[in-house]
Amino acid sequence: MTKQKVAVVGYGNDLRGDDGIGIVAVRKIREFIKDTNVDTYEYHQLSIEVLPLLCRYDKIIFIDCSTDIAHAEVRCYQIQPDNNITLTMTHHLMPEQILQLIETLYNKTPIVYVCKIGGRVFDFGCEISQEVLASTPKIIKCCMELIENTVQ
Amino acid sequence: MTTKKKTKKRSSELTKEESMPKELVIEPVTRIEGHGKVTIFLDQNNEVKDARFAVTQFRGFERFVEGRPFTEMPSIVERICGICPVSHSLAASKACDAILGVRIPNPAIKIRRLLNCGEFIQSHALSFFHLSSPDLLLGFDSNPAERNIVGVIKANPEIAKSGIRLRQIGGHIVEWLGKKRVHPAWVVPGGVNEPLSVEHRDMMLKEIPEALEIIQKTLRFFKGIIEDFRNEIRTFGNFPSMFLGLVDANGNWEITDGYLRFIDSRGHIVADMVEPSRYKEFIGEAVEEFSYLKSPYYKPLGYPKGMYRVGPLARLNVCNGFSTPLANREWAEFRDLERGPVLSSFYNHYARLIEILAVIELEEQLLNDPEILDPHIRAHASVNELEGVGCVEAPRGTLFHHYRVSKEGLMQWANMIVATGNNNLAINQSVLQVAQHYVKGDEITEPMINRIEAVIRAYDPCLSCSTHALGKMPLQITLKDCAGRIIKEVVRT
Repeated sequence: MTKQKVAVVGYGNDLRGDDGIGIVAVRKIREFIKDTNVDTYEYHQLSIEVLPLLCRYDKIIFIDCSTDIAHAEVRCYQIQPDNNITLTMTHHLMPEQILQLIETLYNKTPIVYVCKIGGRVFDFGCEISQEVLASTPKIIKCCMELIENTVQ
Repeated sequence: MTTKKKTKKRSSELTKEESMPKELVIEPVTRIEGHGKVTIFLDQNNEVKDARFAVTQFRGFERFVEGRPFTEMPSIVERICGICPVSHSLAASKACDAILGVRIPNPAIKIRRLLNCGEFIQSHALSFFHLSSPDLLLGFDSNPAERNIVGVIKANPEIAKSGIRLRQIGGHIVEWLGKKRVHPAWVVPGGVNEPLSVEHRDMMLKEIPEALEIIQKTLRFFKGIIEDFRNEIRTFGNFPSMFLGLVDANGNWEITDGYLRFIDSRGHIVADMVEPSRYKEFIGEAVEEFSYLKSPYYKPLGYPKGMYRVGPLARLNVCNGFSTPLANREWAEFRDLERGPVLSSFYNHYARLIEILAVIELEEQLLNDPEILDPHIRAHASVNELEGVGCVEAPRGTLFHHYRVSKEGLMQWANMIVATGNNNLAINQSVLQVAQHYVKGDEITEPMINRIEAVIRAYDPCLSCSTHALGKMPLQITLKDCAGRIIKEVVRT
């Protein structure tokens, strides 16, 4: 059986406090990965030109900061394509939209997970709040489990 | 659709309310970079009397850089824009080179040109494939809910994929040189930060055949559908004006170095081989109270008579040709559209595709030049001049950065004239022309709004750049009576 190709994508603005945690996390994860079938990427934001790259993967894990959940809370879950995309611009896409566009344009159906950390501090600066930083091991563990396919 | 045109009355027959001029305002303008507003003024007979395109953002980069070391300028001004940071860093670095009083090493000149190629590819691809193709592929009158990139993806996935791939290829050049796709902070005063590696050169070369194939295919496709847009060609900024662009020492198309050339509306060269540092002799800057966007004009003709256009159409109009074979052939065909300069701003879309072809060819030439790998990429000096001007062609048009510094190298004054500013008078004129053609009565219809937006989009304006403001991109259209009362308003988010 061919081994799955996995992409781990950390994204966010590393000049805006907690928003940079996706970048920080993916850099840490890179240190742990030995498997050549796993690639890591850092993006300021998800724009449409990531599609030709990400469509090559069987599994994609997005790591991002979120304001929808409690400060420093970590949530990892599988997402489904967003069938109701109404993009007028292509500067910034959500993972659900990425998945939808990969399916529509490239006829591929990767399994996509989102790992979120709740952020609160988004001021100018590279510093990430202590609470969010303290949650980083949890998100790394979660991602590594997803990579190893141990989490459903 | 548009309302039935009312029978005209004489002014003396009108009631007080009827005699008031009206304004139609479009805000925000969509599928552009930034936040714009259009106001259309109707006269007593509901005929379009005037139109204004206003930029409602303000950020003030020119002021807050005062006091900073000039060496920081390339990195600071990159933050003006997420689409064309490279243009700002190149113009800033060239202004800083002048302050250092150095001539940067040849490999650095070449590698900066290569970087500009990357930005042109990705920015022009965004404009054509993602912002304008919904109108071009689906039609200006198509269902607005589907007239977007998703609609394009459904209608013509191959075109959508081509656009995405070209964006990626252009982005790769920027990313592989500058280590970051956005705000790479790699161009520095005196040259660049790091040489091009063999590995990245080879990776770039590998992508060229596919990029060439995509753009040639797209050009053939566009030339095949262009006749469907006769009305838009006729009314989208189709008027005589001057044009400005950079040319090389032979008068050929140039985007990173070179000299200023102005031509008049009949194609006669009125100023040529002008060193960009002399821009103030030729360009004046007017300010209108309704917009944060400045209105530059050709000084010898005064304001507003000295309206000129910059950008892809202008560059193809001012040059004698291209120094690369495929683009030169396309240019010759393009210039056959009219006897003199090609006047309709609609043709910016066509010109943009030819420019993508040109920069891909130029990229190939640069990458095959062994000097591109030379590690001698930076000249070092301290402050030798207290003033410097940097000028490049940004994808949207000619960009000037002008700095004055103290002896210690601290910024004392800055002036930036960006492409969208250079086009401000022409955009206003174009909006008026479209409004006069499509606006009938005091109704705001969707096809009308879309055409007003589309003529603005033809210039691919970057409002974030033009006011150096933080960009979102919606547009508002408002219709007002002569007393300033809003009678209709449409807001797009």
